[in-house]
Amino acid sequence: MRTDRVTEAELAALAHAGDREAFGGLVTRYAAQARRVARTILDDADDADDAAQDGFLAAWRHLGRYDPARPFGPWLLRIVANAAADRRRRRRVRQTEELSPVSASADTGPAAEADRRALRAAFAGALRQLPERQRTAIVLFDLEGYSHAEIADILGIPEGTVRSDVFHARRALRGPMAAWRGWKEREP
Amino acid sequence: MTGHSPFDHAPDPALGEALREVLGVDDDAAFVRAVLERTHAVEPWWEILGDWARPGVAAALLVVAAGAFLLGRLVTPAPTVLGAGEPVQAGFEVTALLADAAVPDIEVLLGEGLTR
Repeated sequence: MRTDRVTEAELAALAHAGDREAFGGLVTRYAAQARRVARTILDDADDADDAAQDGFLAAWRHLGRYDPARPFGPWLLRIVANAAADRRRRRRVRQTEELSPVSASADTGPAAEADRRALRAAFAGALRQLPERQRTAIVLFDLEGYSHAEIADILGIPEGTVRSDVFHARRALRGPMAAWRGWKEREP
Repeated sequence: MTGHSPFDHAPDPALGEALREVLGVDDDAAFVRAVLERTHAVEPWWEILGDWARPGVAAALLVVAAGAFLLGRLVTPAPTVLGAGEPVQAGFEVTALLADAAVPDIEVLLGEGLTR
C-alpha cells in the first residue's frame, strides 16, 4: 500500500483496524516532529527518542480515541509531549551541564569553527533556559508551523497563554539568534 | 528573527531554521523501525479482546448448559406418588388386575397365571 497518498484519517482508521503498515506511514510522517518536541522537553537525546517512541505506542493503543475529523498531528504531539513530561518527572533527568560559549570556544579546531560552535551553543543554551512551556510553544509555532489554537490544544492551555509564551520565548532568543545569524552571514 | 517582531503572528522562518538545527534529529528511518518493532510487542486491543473472549465464550457456554439443566429439572414433572388404586405399569395385565377396585375373580387370576 502506498501510504503517502492516503489521508491521515484513512491511515489512522487502517492502523486502528490492525494495519501496521498504515501505522508505519503515520510514524514516518511524524517521526521528526515528535522527536523534536520530545527533545524540547528532555535534554537527553536518547531519553527524548524513548519518550517519542512511548508516545507513538500510546497513540497506537488509543487510536480509537482519535477524532478523524481533526488533524492527526496535534493529537499525536499532545501524547508525545505528555510522554516526555512523564518521563522527565519519573526519572528526574540528570541536568546536563549547559555548554557555555567559553567552553565551546575551547574546542579544538580552527577558531572560526569554534566561534560557530560557541554561538550555536549560546543559542541552544538560551533555548534550554526558557521555561519548558515557552520552549515547547516556540518550537511548535516557529519550527513545526502549528497555529496558536493547535498549540493550545496540544499543551492543554488557553490560546492567549500560547501567544504570551511565544512572545516571551522570541524575545529571549532574539539576542543569541542575532549573534549566531550575524556570524553565519559573515561566513565566506 | 530578522524583520520579525516577537508580536508577529506568523512563524519566523529564520528562527525555525535555527531551532531545527539545534534540535536536529538524524536517522528517522531507524527510529521508525524501532517504533514498529515495539508495536509487535504490544498486543492491540482486538487481540486482547480476543484473548478475553475465548474463556468468556467457554464460561458463557457453561452457564447456558447449567441453566438449561436446571430449567429442564424444573419443567419436567416430578414423579408422582401412586395412589393405592393406580396401575404401576400401564399395559401389564396383572397390575391392571391389581389396580381394579373390584375384587378380581379367582378364575381370572388363575387363568392369567397359567398363561405365563
